[in-house]
Formats: sequence, structure tokens, C-alpha cells
Amino acid sequence: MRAQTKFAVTEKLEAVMSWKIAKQAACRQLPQTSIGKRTCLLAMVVLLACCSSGGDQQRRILQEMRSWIASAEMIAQARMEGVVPTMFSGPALQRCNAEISSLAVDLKNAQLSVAQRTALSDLPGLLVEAEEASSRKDGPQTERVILALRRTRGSLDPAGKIP
Amino acid sequence: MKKLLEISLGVVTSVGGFLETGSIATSAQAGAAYGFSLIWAVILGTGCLIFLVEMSGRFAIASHHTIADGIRDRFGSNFFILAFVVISVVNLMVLAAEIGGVTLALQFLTGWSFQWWAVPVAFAAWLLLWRGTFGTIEKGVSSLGLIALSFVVAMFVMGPPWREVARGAIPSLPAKDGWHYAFIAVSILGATISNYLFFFYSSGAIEEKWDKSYFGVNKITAAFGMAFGGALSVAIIVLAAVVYSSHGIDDIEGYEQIAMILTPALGRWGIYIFSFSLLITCFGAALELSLAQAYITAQGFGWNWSEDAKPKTDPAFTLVYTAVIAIAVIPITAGLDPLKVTIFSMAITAISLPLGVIPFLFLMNDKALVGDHTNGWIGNAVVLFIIGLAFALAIVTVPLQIWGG
Repeated sequence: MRAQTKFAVTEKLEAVMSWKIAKQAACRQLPQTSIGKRTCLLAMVVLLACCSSGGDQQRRILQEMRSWIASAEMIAQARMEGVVPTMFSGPALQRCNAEISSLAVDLKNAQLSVAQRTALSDLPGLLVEAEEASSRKDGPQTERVILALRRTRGSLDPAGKIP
Repeated sequence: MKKLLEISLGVVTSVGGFLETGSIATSAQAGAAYGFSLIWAVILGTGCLIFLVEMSGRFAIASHHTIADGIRDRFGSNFFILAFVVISVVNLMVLAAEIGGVTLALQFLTGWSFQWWAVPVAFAAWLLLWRGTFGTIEKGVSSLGLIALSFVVAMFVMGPPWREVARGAIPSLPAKDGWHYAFIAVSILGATISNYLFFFYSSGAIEEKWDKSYFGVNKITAAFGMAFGGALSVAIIVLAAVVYSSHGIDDIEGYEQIAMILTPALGRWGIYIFSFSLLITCFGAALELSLAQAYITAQGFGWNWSEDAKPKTDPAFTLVYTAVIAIAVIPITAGLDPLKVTIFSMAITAISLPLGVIPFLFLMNDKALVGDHTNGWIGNAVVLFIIGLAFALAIVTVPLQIWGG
């Protein structure tokens, strides 16, 4: 009986001890868990922010690229019609080309559709062609290239519209 | 008759001097990205500017002091130094942007890269300041700036939907990119309400020896000159909205894009008129900024100052404008994109606004300084509103620069 009682007491004591140890451990762990939770939360927020800003950044880059392509179309058209002097249109078309190339590099690791990838690979050739055709004042060829550039610009637009 | 002539000249120079690289760039960006919906920002900025410029002139006439003198005397040297440092940094950046504007105009006209033009442009500005008088700079260069009226002509040629243009005068929420919209609005306000204008205008009133008979001239020049100047910015927004939207350009990132703004309306003259407008307005603004910096420094530190005097009589004044031009030309010579410098400097201008605007509330109510020409309740209410606006702009500019710039 006594042994049983002793055993029961010991068991209770052990239980209490183990609870205390567990509590102490839990107490010790609590701040760590809290820090961990906070770190996880922060990481998630940063990750989410990165994800959203990444997507946002990609959308911005595409928007910027479409604007530069549209500018190249406008300048090439004006050059072909002889409305702007070559000393302006030459460097201006080169700038458009440089900006588009630089933006294309930024999109290298972006998640793009096949149509968008194809459009990106077609762009450098089309821009060079636009520059050459407009400098030759080759109306039909310039028109064709500008149309091709417009289609490319449309492919780069997630909404698929060509303004 | 003489007064009428002076008023006309004052209005003409204010109109010609209103436009500069900041207002051209921010207005073009606003029109391309958001159509007519940011016209309200130009109207708000111009309204604030009219009041502040009128007060600068009234203060100079009534007290025979400039705004810089007033700030130092009324607030003490500690506040003056703080304002001086911040405003000087902003002025240097805006001056770099203006030099960049001139060099780009020359690039468009000659085909030579803007970097090559930076030093010759800086030297030309310095030479004109060294040899010229206040009248040459203010009336000569600013009057040439009237070429910018071609933006208004082009706007009428393009025939925009006027009802929608009028709707743009009322603030509205954007359909896309709220941060970017807010950033451009702040940049427009920064480009319109620039601290240097108050220092330059009040110093000009002293240079031209405005006496008590000039209160009326000051009022009319400030009101009509700035209002017509604001109309030029509105014309650029309207043109950008009409021209760029039809070509699918909704994001302006280079002056090569802005340069085409007049071509649809003015044909083969478009690029030349745009380039000359950019060249002259930016050159005028560069001269005004260099002078404004020299005025603030010389007046704050009690040195001799006058653009009409020979450099040997005010060497420190001369040294200041020489130094600021020499420093401001560096980023452009180094090849920094003038449009990026412009947009950044316009946003930074918004941060510095409170330091330039708060003193007006005290200076314009100080009977010891302005006598009976203190602000009425409308003037004070407007200044309080502008101070609130300036603080709001100063607080939101950095977050907007990060998320919307």
C-alpha cells in the first residue's frame, strides 16, 4: 500500500516534474518559437511582397517596352515621311533599340508566354529593319515593318490589345 | 503707358520663363500615362504659385528686402542655414536637369550626343551671367521663351475633346497604377511650385528697384504671367494625351519620345520648334537658377550682390554662380540621363517645399517688415493650405519615389 502510494506519489512527482520541465522547456522555447514565427511571417510577407512586386515589375517592364516599340514605330514612320531630320531620327531610333534590348535582358528570367518569347526574339531584327527601311525612305517596306512591330507590341500586351 | 508696357513685359517674361525641363517632362508623362486626368495638378500648382510669387514681390516692395533677407532676419541664422542647405542641394539638382534639357535640345538639332554639349552650354550660361545684366537675362531670354506658345497652337491644331479636357481640371482617381499617378502628381506640383522662384522674383524686384507704385504691376504680373504659363503646361498634357495615346505610348522614359510631341500638329517644323522651345526655356531656367542660388547665398551671408554690378564689385556673388554651374554640369557630362535627373529633381523639390513656404506665413504678417501690406485672411488661408500641401508632399514623396517612381 505504502509502496503503491509512494509509487503513485513518485509518479505524480515525476508527472509534475516532467510537466515543469516541459513548461520550462516550453518557456525557453517560447521566445524562440515567437522569433521563429515572426521570422516565418516576415519571410512570407517579404516573399509575398517580392512575388507581387516581381509580377508588378514584369508588368512595368513590358509596359515600358511596348512604349519604346511604339515610339520606334512613330519615329520610323516620321523618318520615312521626311517629317523629322535624320540627325534626330537616327540617334532616336538607336536609343529605342538600346532601351528595348536592355529591357529584354531584364525579362530574361521572367515567366513569359511562348508568344511573348517569340515577340522578344523577333524584336531586334524588326528594329534594325525599321531603321534601315525608313532611312532608305522605302515606304512599303517601312509600313510592313511597322505593322510587324505593332503585332509584336500586341503580343507583349497581356490584355492583347494593340492601341 | 510706361506701367502698361512694364506689365506687358512682366507678363511676357513670366509666361516665357514658366516652362522648363521639369514642367515639360512631367506634363508629357502625365498626358501619356493618364490622359487629361492630371490637369488639376497643374491648375492647383499654378494657383499656389500665383499667390506665393505675388507675396514675394509684395514683400520686396513693402520691406525693401528679399525673401532670403527676411528669412535670415525673422528666423535667425540656424533656420536660414537649414533652409539654405536643403534648397541649395535641390537647386543644384534642378540646375543639372536644366543643363541636361539644353544639351538634349542641341542633340536633337545637331545629332551630337548631349554629353558633348554639357560643358559648352555651362560655359555659355556662365558667360551670359558674367557679361549680362538682370534685364538681359530676365527680359531677353525669358521673352525668347515665348516660342513655347507653339504648344498651345499645336493643341488647337490637334483639336482635343474639350469636354474631357475640362473634366481633367477636377481631381479624380486613376483607373490604373495609383502609386505612379500620385508620383506624377507630386512631380508636377514640385515642377510648378519651386522655392527658387520666390528668391529669384523678390531679388528681381529689388534689382529693378520696384517702389510702392509697383504693387499693381506685381499683382498683375504674378497672376497673368503664371496663369498663362500654367496654360502652357496644360497644353503639353493635352497634346501628350492626344498624340501618344493614338500611337500606343503610355510610358514616357526618354526625351526622344517627348520630342515627337509637336510633329503630328506642326509637321516638319515640329521637331525644330520643340527643340528650340526646350533649349530656350531650359537655358532661361538655368540662368535663373544659377542667379537664384547666388542671391540666396550672398543675401544670407551678407555679401554684395547684384547681377547688374560688375563681377569685381561682388566677387563672392560671382563665385557662387560660377561654382554651382561647374558642379551642376558634372552629372550631365558623366552621361546621366537628363530625364531621370529631371524627374528625380522634381520629386526632391517637393520635399524641400515646406522650408521655402512656411516663412511666408510669418513674413507676410510681420507689420515691422511689410507695414500695412500684410496678408488678408484669404492670403493667410491660402498660405496655410499651401503649407499643409507642402508637408503632405514632403511626406509622401519618398514612398512614392520608391513605389511609383
